[in-house]
Amino acid sequence: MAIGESQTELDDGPAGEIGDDGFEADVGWRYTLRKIKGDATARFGLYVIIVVLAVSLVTGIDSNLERLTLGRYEDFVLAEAILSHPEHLPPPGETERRLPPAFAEEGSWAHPLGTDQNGRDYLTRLIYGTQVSVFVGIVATLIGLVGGTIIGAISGYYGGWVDDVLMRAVETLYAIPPLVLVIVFTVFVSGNDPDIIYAVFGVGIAFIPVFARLIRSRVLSVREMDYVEAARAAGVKDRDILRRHVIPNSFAPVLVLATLYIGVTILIVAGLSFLGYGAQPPTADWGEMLRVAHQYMHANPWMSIWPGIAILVTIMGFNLFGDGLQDALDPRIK
Amino acid sequence: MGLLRYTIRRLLQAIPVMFGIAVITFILVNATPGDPVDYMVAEELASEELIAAIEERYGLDEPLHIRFLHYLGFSWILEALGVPGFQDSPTGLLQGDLGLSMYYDRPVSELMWTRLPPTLLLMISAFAFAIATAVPLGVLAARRRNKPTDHISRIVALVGVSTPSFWIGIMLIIIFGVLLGWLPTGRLVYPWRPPAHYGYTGYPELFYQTIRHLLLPMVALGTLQMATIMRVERSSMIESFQKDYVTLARAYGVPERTIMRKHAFRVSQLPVITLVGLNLTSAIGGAVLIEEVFAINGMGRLIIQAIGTLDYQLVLGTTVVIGFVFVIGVIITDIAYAYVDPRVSYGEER
Repeated sequence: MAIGESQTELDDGPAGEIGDDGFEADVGWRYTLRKIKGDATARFGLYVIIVVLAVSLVTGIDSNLERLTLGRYEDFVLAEAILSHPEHLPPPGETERRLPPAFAEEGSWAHPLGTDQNGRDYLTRLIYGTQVSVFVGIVATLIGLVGGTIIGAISGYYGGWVDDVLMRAVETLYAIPPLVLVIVFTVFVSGNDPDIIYAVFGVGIAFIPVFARLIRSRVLSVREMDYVEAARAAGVKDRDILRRHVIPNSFAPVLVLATLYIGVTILIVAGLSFLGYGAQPPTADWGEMLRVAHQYMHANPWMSIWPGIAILVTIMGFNLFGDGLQDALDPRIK
Repeated sequence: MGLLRYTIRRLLQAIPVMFGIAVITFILVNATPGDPVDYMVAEELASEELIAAIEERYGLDEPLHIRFLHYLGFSWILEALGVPGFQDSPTGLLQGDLGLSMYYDRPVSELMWTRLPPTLLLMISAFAFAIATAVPLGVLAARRRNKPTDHISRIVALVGVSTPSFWIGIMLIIIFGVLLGWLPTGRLVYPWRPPAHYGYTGYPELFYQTIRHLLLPMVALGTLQMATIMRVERSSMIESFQKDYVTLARAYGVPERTIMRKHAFRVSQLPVITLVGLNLTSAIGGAVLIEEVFAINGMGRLIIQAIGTLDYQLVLGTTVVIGFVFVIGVIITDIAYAYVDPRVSYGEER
């Protein structure tokens, strides 16, 4: 996970020079974008992200048909199908369950990646899984980002006992492994009725410490700047100083971390779903698909391959782009 | 300030964090709507007497703050204040008593002691694998910067940080277990058990089997660690190769190997040490998943089982202990850091 690295690097300094006097020619969004354009790997990461986002917007592919004819996960769906659309049902006993992909023996191009244990088309489910992952990655990271920014900025700006209390609280949260913390959160807050939305909030909260620590370390240097001093002398309210001066000027490294953490979030929620505490069936989610595939590991190894590749590619896109962003924002590198 | 005083100070600093871990976990576990007892007793069997008896046995009939004080092991304060109850089990967290598991009806600490060794075996071997592969590869990549070796190692690192460990585990099982049939696909053989327990002829076979069983989960859990360590090792080595004293040593004609050994390598290990400490949490999370994939009965599976059965005390105990282990792990890495780097001042860190 890129966490450890980005933390050590971002926490104590390299990115610290950004925005300081003397680097003005080398900062700003336009410069950053130009630098990323010149960085082939970052560009590749960006393309991957764009493709993933585009795929996540795809809806309505055959979903109705799929649900009716092949979705035998719940009896009532079958019953509904028999009642309303009998023409879509395959002949009894011929549901094509756990079909291998098209290029393997016994595969068919009707289901390019084969079918799952209920005979649902695997490619369709994989595409729908993109929605869940993108949603999870972005929303959970946003929760961590917003929560962490508020806590970190207040902590760094006021200092003193406020800082002590908030930082101890944040360290505490950081000490419990996110996966365990989120499962406990999901199960106990939902009253043993886990759902992806609890997982998203849990992961978001679990990552508040990471963002809070980073922004605090930035705020500590920004608050000593002349313009903050000037604003204070002019009688601007603390809240406005924080909002207009301190947070915007501390934000660049946080954005980099957020990009990298979208990947980490997707990874953790996939793990949660794999253990059965994230997305619940019949939702198409990569982690949940792997949970089922694990049970059919011997009978149909194909099922285990695709969701993992989907996760790998998505996270790799965010990692490449995040690394590129980090390099572009770090004046020390080249 | 000496190393000893530094150690003591770090330990003291950890106390509020450990207390906080207990508070957070306690609040979370108690956030559940309804009562743990509701989940324990089937609805048809639930009678008022039964529920009352269970609540009394596990101390659930007391208000939350009193239960928390009791859980921490401050029963004597309660007694001094004249709050009744809890005479039957006056110990708590402070005394190393984590309460009674509702599902197993055994002390939580006893359950954890039986489940901890497999997890430790798994995690230590995963970190050993990660360090043993990542450090040489990182050094090599740094020395051949922007050459094919470097690019390959960067790709490996990138894929490593982007791949879910449990998926690597599943793939390894499919390839080496199912398709090739070379390695066992689940459970571990524990080297501390007598060989006869598994029907082996002697210790050599026992150790051989231990390694065979450990290989796949070790790689699955260690890959992420390997990737992150390799990235840091590489950038750290590149940085120290660019230091003035390295340039100076080169100018003096000091052999490259000596520069590596004496000037560049040791300093470059500092960020790696920090990273290993910070990565403990992700490794524990990974261990939960890997134990599930490989059916290893360690701590991770214990937590998952505890959550699955809503075994309130067990969830509380395992989470709190894991948090403590992490805090202690970070302190140990901090101390190791101070030990390796003579420049670290013990006075002000952070």
